[in-house]
Amino acid sequence: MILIPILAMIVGLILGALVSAQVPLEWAPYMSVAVLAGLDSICGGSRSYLEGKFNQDIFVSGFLFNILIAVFFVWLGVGIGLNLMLAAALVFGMRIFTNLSLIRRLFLSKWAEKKRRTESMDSGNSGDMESVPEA
Amino acid sequence: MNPFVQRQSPRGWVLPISVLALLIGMMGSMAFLSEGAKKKSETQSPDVGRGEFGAQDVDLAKEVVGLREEVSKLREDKTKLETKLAETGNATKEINDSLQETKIFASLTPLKGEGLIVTLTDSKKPSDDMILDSGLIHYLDVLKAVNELFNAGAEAIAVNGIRVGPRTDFRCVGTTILVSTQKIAPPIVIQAIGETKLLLGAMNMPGGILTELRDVDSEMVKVEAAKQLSLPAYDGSTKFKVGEVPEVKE
Repeated sequence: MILIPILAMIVGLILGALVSAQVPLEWAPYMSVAVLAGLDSICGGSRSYLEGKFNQDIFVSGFLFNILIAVFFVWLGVGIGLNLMLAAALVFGMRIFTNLSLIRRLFLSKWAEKKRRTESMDSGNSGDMESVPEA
Repeated sequence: MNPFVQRQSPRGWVLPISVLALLIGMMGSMAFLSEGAKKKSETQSPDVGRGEFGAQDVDLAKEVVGLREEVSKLREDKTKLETKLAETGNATKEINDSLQETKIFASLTPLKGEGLIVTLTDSKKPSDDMILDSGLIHYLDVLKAVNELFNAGAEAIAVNGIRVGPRTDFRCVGTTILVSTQKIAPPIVIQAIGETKLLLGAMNMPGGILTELRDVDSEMVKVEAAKQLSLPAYDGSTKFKVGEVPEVKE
């Protein structure tokens, strides 16, 4: 199931490359930071699902709002002569790292849980409950 | 169990995340393509940044024609003068010699002798490795090199075959460098007549004016000794509009 969004992203990348549409050069920084914000939202959404807290409204609104805030930050930075794109990139980069590490941990926990259950079931069948290892 | 956790359908998350992942994938592709196009346009126009003002602001054609006419007139005058001097005999030889010395000093005669050839070229390294436009030859580099060569005892200098005279100026117009009124572009070849060793020392001096260019890219500067150089005469304007020679009171 988790492979579907990954496949969708790969399809998106291929589609974008095939269409070979380019944004105007002056918009390139806005696009880059918007992509980063979007990636962060997708990672956050995936994590929420794994934690059992996924809510579609929160996810979609977060996705749009993050992108808007990121683009606004870059625009503000250009206006006041301060590279706020770095700030946005840093924050989103950190959040992506955190979300990905949490996703990894959740996967590992689920996998360990599954393994423990399987082993406990096997042990239950054999009647030796004390030999169940700790996950 | 957490009471605030909302129940989710097992497949409810797949569609929104997949759709937005598709969108982000497309946006990522576009960002990549745009960034690639940006880099390509930067490498294709390495001369951007050299101009301090546009070439269209300066119409030099009329001035150049006027100067050429003046040079022809001067040369004719010179020939007439020399003929007259030859006719009047040995008594005026000294005056003629003095006149020729003055003309040599004022760069109004061609000159030959040993010296040095300095070639300044734009860097061929990709512009990504450079700080701003440090890989380009600017008029200030030419001006500094000429100044340093005169300082080291150069007797005559020509830049891309244009003799440097008393009123020669260097400035920047668009992507080219102007030597007085004539446009030149890299590679800039500076020929200097003078004591080769001294000139070489000045050009290769550690921390000297060429060090900065060599630090950016050693290929930008080439210095070679020349046993025999032949430089043309200065062909710029010699007219005085304002200045006058004060009368000498006896």
